Amino acid sequence: MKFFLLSLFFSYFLFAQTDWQRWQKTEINYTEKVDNSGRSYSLRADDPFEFLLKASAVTYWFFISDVDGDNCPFDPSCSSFFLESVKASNIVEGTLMFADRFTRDFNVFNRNDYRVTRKGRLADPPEKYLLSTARSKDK
Amino acid sequence: MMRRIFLLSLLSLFPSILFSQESGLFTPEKRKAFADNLFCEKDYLRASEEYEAINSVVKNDSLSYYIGLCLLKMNDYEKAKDHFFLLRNSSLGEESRLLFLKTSFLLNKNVAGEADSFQNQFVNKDLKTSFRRLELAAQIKAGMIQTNLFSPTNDFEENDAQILKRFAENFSHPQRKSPFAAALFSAMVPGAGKIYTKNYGDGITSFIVTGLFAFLSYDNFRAHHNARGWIFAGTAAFFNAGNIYGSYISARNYNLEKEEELNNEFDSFLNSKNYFVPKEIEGSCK
Repeated sequence: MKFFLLSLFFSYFLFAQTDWQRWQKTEINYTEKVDNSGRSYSLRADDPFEFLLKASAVTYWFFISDVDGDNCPFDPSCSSFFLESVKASNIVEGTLMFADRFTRDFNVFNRNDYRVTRKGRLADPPEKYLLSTARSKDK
Repeated sequence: MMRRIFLLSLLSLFPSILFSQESGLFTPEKRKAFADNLFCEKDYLRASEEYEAINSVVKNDSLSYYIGLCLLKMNDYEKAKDHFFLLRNSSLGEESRLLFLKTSFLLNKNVAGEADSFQNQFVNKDLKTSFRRLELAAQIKAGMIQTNLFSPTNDFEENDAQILKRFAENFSHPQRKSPFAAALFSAMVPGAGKIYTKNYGDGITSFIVTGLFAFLSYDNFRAHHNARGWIFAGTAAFFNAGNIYGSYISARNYNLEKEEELNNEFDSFLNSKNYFVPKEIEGSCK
């Protein structure tokens, strides 16, 4: 019994508040964390045209988008949408899809028409707008 | 004292040996009873395993039928369909044929051809009625029935007949928007195609964006700022081209959504009626 009480007493001390983990003032960082995990900054391409397209997108991301902050409500973002649509179709169709997306981005009243992703963005994959696709589930 | 306790515990061992678990626990009859119990408890996965185990020893149409039912209940329609097809000429042929049609329907397969081959293979009056109902539902879904030709037979209750008539009307004359008309409207008036496909917000936005850049272009040309005029004209053309393309896609997506909506509505109606299949043939549990 004595031994038990003694061990209980010591264990209490073991988990007691320590001196080296005191409450203290911390620096608060108000910068919003931008999640760019979906972006590929690699310039690896199969042909010169794709390289040119990627280079312009990466330049835009590096000098404008990343500095400006996380503003596009859609997933994928407009620039990524453009790259993906050109890859999924061709330059003409991809550009038309991008122009349409850009117009839809202006409309702030259509946000309820889209499914919200885990990241809290509006799901709007390019597959929905391809001429060859015959399904639309997200909108 | 200790001796007494020892004796007592020794004696208590005897009855447990006498009434020990009897042999033959895994006889087909007992396993069947256990499987039936699992089926009624809605533990379909284990029930099907039990039925499979008995079926490997004692081949029986009823066991195969119950395996099919378990697969159906577990929504494994492809396997269930194959199972019922194999049983179509067995002692449970009529029930199997009906459930085969039901699984085909659940898989969104064209049932019409399959229904034709089973046309005169029903003797049981109730199952025959169920078959006719299911066949008619399949024809409605395929858009094969024109409303003016639709005459609800005695197979349906008045209320159901009215609902089916409405579905037949919607399937044979679906609410569709022409993608070409949408593109044409947008080419004439920016955003009109999207408004035509009931995408009002996007349509108005397209009109404002394209109109704004077109006006800026006009204004700059008028002020002899030709370079700026061309830039704005190009931007307006870019947005309008996207809008024409978007209107075409919007009409196509509208049609797909309506089609899906109607199919889901029809399926949930049929589901509420158990696809016109009598509940008894899907395994009766007390």
